[in-house]
Amino acid sequence: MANTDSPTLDAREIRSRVLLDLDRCIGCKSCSAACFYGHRGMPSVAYGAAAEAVVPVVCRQCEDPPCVAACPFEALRREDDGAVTRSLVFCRGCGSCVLACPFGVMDTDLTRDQVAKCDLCEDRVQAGGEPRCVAACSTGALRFLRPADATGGGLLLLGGRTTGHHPFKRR
Amino acid sequence: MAATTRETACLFCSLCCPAGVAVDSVGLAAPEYPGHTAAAHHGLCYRGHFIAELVTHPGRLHEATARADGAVHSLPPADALRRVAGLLPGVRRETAVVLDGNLPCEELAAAVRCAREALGIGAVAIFLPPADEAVLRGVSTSAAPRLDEAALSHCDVVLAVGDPFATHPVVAGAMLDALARVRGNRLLVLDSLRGRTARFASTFCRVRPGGEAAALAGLLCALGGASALADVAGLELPTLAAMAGVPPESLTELAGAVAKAQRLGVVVSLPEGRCRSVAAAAALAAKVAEAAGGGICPLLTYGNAAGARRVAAALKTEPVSRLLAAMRQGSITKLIALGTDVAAALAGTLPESVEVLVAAAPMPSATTARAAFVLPMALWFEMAGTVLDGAGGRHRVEAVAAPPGGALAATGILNALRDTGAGDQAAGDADLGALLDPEPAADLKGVLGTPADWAPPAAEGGKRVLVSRADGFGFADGAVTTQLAWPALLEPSPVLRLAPSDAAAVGGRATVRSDGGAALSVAVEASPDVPAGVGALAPCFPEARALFAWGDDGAGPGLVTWEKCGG
Repeated sequence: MANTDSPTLDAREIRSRVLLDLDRCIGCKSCSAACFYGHRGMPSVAYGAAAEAVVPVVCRQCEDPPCVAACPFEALRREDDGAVTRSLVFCRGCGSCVLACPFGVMDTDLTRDQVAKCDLCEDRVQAGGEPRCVAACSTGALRFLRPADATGGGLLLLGGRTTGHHPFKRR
Repeated sequence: MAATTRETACLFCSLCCPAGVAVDSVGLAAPEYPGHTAAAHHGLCYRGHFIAELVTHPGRLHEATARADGAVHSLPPADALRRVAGLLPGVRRETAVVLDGNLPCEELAAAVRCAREALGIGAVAIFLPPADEAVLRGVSTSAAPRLDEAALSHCDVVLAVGDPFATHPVVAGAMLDALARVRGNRLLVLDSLRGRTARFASTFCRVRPGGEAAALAGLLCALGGASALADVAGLELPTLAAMAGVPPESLTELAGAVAKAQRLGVVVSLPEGRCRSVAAAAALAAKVAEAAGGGICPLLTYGNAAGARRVAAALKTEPVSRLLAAMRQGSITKLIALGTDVAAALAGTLPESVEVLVAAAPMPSATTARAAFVLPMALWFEMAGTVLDGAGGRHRVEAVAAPPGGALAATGILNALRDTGAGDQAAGDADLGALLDPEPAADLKGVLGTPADWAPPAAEGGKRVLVSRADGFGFADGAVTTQLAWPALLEPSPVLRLAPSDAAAVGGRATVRSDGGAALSVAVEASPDVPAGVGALAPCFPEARALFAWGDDGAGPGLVTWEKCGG
């Protein structure tokens, strides 16, 4: 799908995303532990409180990412596969991306001097696997799917990214 | 950097999930997920990730130390073993060996035999968290079949006692599968706190802290299964419901749902500090399952708790409670602790008069701090062998990495003591089949005691009740996990959860004092999940464990007072 020679917006559209089934998330934070240990102590799974539930909030890999536009050091870029990645070398931990992120996914507090950024575990995905948070999820709440596959499976996408039949009813 | 991935079974709980560690060419370790497929989610909970950190943790012990004249000196492990071997012949009769139970069965059996036959030490115990031992003893009184995750996912009604979603996240997947399989399937939860499992419950029955056994006995009465407990006096539903702090109608409603089950699964998760009479509660839960034609799924802290209990029964090792009694009487004055932080796990009930002669441990702990000799010891994922999960299924653990420096397994340490002169016989090999079958059964009457034993602690005279909570960052007594990065990120020190009104009264920090005289200053958080007059504290901090009420059967909810720090 991706044409690395002359990427267009369509070609660079991300293939699969990390989707959360709110009906199955128990808030155990195993996904965050997987991210922490898989990225040498820099977790990029944040947590949001939604009513009584505490649910993981993962990077949505925006098509037009505000964090990339906000970064004064060009440490953030959108890759050909659609993942928005961050260079550890160029990042100064200024926090501009944290302020720019409309979803509150990026957080400096977790990572001391640098800003953690989900790279969709490119090492695993390129080898045909799934991101660590998805592989670790104890209940199958996190899935690595194309949004079209999620809606085709009868799941409701909230905000274009989050799934669940009755996401807040249960809690 | 090419990484080598090795797989094992995770022993950080009794589900024994498949876990992997990838070690790259420079020795850095990262978790892997061998049991996971996109089609069948199994996952690996936060505890399974600790293996990768422990492989290369900078806090791991590499060398032996000896304490002399109040100072601690490093020395090669071989020298330490030689000096201990020189001491042993004169003190064999007054020395006890306590082995950590979360080791492969072959290792446990060989170590017990080596201690007895080669070193001549008769007082040998295998340590299990008291709540694990109590749950296994309780469910062994029933013929109800044991359910694993696959069987649990096909139940139409699941009754959860405690908060399994918090203590064992991986089992939640099977329980949610069961709930989602057919419309109308139900999840019933019996717990003293409104935890993660209760949020998904079709019916949540909140009992008084520690009232689980009384509530289950009431449920059994409502089910018409009280004949199974004919020897126990005073079994009447209103009395038991009052003891448990729930309306009798709630238990009747639960019983109605249980009675309608085609396939009932009862999940028991009662860690330390949650319930006063864990063995009775587990036995009653198993009787409920039996009465409704269902099965039971005991969830334990130690991955090999079931295997260790069978090895202990087959080799007739001493119960830890009996060793503690002998220590209090003075007939045991010296202790060799292999792999277990017994001082932290038993929260100060280890008498101060006992000299810890040797503490072999993977990391510094409360036990190594008072030991004359400290030896580095391998962790369970650095050895191979067989383990039994909570349902009795056998799993194979493999060494995912070599132990650091001079660390040895328990048998390695005991064999080295024998070879350096403390003993002169070779220990026999273990026959695993004879060791692991059958499961030792306990006597129901002895396990149940009397209904008075099930009564939850009564908060009178300004006292409050302290129960344990599992919040997804610790393991067992915390001897290992308090030194790990991930748990330290989530909760670096104990946090007391209180009802919003109680939290507002004490502010951000409180001093908690137990009836037993222990005191601890803790941060306070408000939580709507905790009822007024009750405090919830994670038991995986060694300093917090003494606040619970300790008896021979382990820790139950404690009676405490709390006040604003400095107030």
